[in-house]
Amino acid sequence: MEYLLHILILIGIYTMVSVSLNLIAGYTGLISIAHAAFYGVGAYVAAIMALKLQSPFLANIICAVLLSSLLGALVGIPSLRIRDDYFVIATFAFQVITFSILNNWVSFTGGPMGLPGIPQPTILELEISSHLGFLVLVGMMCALTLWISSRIVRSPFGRVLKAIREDEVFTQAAGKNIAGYKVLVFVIGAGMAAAAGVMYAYYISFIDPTSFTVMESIFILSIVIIGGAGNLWGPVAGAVVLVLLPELLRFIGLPSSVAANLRQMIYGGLLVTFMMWRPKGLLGEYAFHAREVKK
Amino acid sequence: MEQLIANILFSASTIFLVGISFSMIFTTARFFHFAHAAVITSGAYGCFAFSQWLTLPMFVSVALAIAAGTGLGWCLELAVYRPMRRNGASPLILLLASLGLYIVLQNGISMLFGDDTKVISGSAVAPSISILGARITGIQLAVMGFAVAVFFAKVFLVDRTRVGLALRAVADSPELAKVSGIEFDRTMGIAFCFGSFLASTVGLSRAFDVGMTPTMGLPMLLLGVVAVVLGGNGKALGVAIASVLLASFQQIAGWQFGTRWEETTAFLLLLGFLLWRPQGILGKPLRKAEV
Amino acid sequence: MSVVLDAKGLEKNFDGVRALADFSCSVRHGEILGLIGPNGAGKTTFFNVASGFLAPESGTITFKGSDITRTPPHRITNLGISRTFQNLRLVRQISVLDNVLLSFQQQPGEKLRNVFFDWRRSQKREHENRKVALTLLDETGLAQKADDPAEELSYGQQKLLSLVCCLAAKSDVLLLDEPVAGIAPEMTERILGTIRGLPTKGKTVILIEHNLDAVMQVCDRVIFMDAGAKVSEGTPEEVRNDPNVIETYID
Repeated sequence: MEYLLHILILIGIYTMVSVSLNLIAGYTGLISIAHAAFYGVGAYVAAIMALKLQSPFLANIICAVLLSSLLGALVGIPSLRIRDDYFVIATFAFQVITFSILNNWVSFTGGPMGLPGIPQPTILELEISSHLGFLVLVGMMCALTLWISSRIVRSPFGRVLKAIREDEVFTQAAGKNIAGYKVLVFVIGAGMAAAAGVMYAYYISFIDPTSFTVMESIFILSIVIIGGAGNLWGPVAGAVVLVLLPELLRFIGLPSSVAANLRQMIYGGLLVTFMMWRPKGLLGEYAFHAREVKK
Repeated sequence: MEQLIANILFSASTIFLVGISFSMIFTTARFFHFAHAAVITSGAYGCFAFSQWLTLPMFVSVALAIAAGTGLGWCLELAVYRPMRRNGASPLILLLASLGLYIVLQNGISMLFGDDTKVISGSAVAPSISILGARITGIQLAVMGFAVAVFFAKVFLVDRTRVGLALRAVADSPELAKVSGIEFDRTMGIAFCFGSFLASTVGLSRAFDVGMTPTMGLPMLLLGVVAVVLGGNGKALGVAIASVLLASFQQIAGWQFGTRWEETTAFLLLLGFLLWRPQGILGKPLRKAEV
Repeated sequence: MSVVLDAKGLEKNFDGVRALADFSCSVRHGEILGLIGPNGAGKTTFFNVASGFLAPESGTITFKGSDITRTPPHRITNLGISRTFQNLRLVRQISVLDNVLLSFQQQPGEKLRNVFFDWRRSQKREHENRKVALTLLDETGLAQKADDPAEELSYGQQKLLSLVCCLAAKSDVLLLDEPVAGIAPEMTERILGTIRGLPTKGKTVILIEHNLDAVMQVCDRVIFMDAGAKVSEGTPEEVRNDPNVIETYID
């Protein structure tokens, strides 16, 4: 039973983080391998505040979201000047630099040793100490994330995002300031990913930089793609598949290091397979068609 | 100081070789072939497998490893990229597929060989020689020599022969190349072979120099990519200049701030160029949007 | 009738090719100006400069008296100039109706804060815009296809749709790039009919076309361009009979 709750919590956290990337990559078409950086910064900000300032959960999550949103703007602004393939490389660069800072600024972040002993979250006098309690919290946060995403996607704002994805030039000619939209979507996406990171930090109660590498970014992107980019429920489907599938390996009784490799091979393989035969993913609508290229 | 220069030259040589190997594929196939990092790694582990597991003589192992690495790159093109290209896959889809391929291959290597750093024993610990006050090992010297050889080979042999012209034609205008009878697929295959050949050689040499890990290819590839972007036009001269520039920045930053900041320096340099001089050092300024 | 769009001395070079060579023209309110000339004459380049996608090396463009030479494209649309594209741009994946709705200006729901803090205002405007959009689609015979993805329309219908999008933007000036090129006669008539009715709605039109019959039928005035320069200007009749023009075509 505890195990089931654990799986559900992980699915919830990964749903949150991939819903946020779906807004950026799936709806607006800005493929980014920087998402683990936003996720990680959220986790670290909350952890550092909880450990060093003993500040309450709510304050920590708000600060985490704000700081990560700022980082999101920093990543979004170059998207205005750098075109598609090169922009992906730029997000890669951001991701690596962020990881490097988390890993090397030992005095602040604990470096490779990480930050252990993150306390249980306390909301309105209620300390959340059981898996079930945490699941309820994650469930609520997840629902909030989905609601925000849904509201955005069904609004005229969301319509502009999709238009940007399909034809930037037409969208500009339609009078939309695409620069503003691109930066904003990164800000929101980063903020939402940070919230997921905070959940992760409190849940595992120990974080270290190895959870927020380029590989993690690619994993999150895979969830979005395999689940179905540009669809509201795509990330949910993706999170369920990509969290559950490797867990099934446990029951075959492989040594854990091999299982870890196999887990990655599975989602790597799924990524290749889907790209070859069904780029839309399970539920998706966006198949990553060649965008208009600025020459 | 001499040591610093020696380090810079050696580092630049490695970066140059990886950069050229990547650029040959990138300029021809027009997408970021991330799995190239796994090809680099495969050169090293191939040699390990042939020499340690099959106990073949070193020369044979080296040759087979390079052949295997070349073959791996070529297989990826045949089995994955070519069919996708036939289906009209965009560069983005190809990039994502190649990410997946990298993950599969790297983890495969991890599973087969383990994650620990391996060394190719049987190759005597290369004695380091002292040249002009700097210590360089035999393998490092070999790499530098190889880099120079490849540079001249690229400029005088590849670029000016039929093959080189075909590669360039396909790179500049795929549609035109197809029409003018240049065998598109074959040229693509040649690009992948050349690139993978160089890549596995570099991976191999790295293993001889400092050993190998399953993830060694990725940071090497990234530096090569940075050099290609900085260089601007994928040609040997641009990549060479950029490699020296990059290696200098990295080694100096590492010297001043500690080696753990070397990677960050490289990527900050990359971001800087992408933002303020996207055409690189030698590239032509990009034209504005064609509307 | 006042001058609404005024271009003076525009210069634009691409890799040594002089796409616009000291090009000037002015358009008066309510007129339909035709821009004709051989391929590569600089007509679309002029549109790109006028709509903000390209900045000229020298020269100015003013719109209702304000300088828009270096204004970005979306701002120019906000100010009241909209355009269509020679290679027909639309958001193909979304519905016909959504393309039109996208083209309305100042929809409060396009501001993020309103999405969450003033949803009602955005919904209300969306509702109003829908009515106008459906009316426009109805007037041009596309109402049946309102919910179909734009990519399912025929080429001619798509061109008509891009015209409707310009109307939805409530622009004062419309720059139409080859609105009837490659279209069957019946649809051509429909599009030309719509264009003809624009001045009565207070709109001004510049159109690029190779179809000289269309130009003769619809335009009040014509400019003939070649190699980036204005070769002839006047009524369609005058330009057609201009010896310079005839010479260029014979070349």
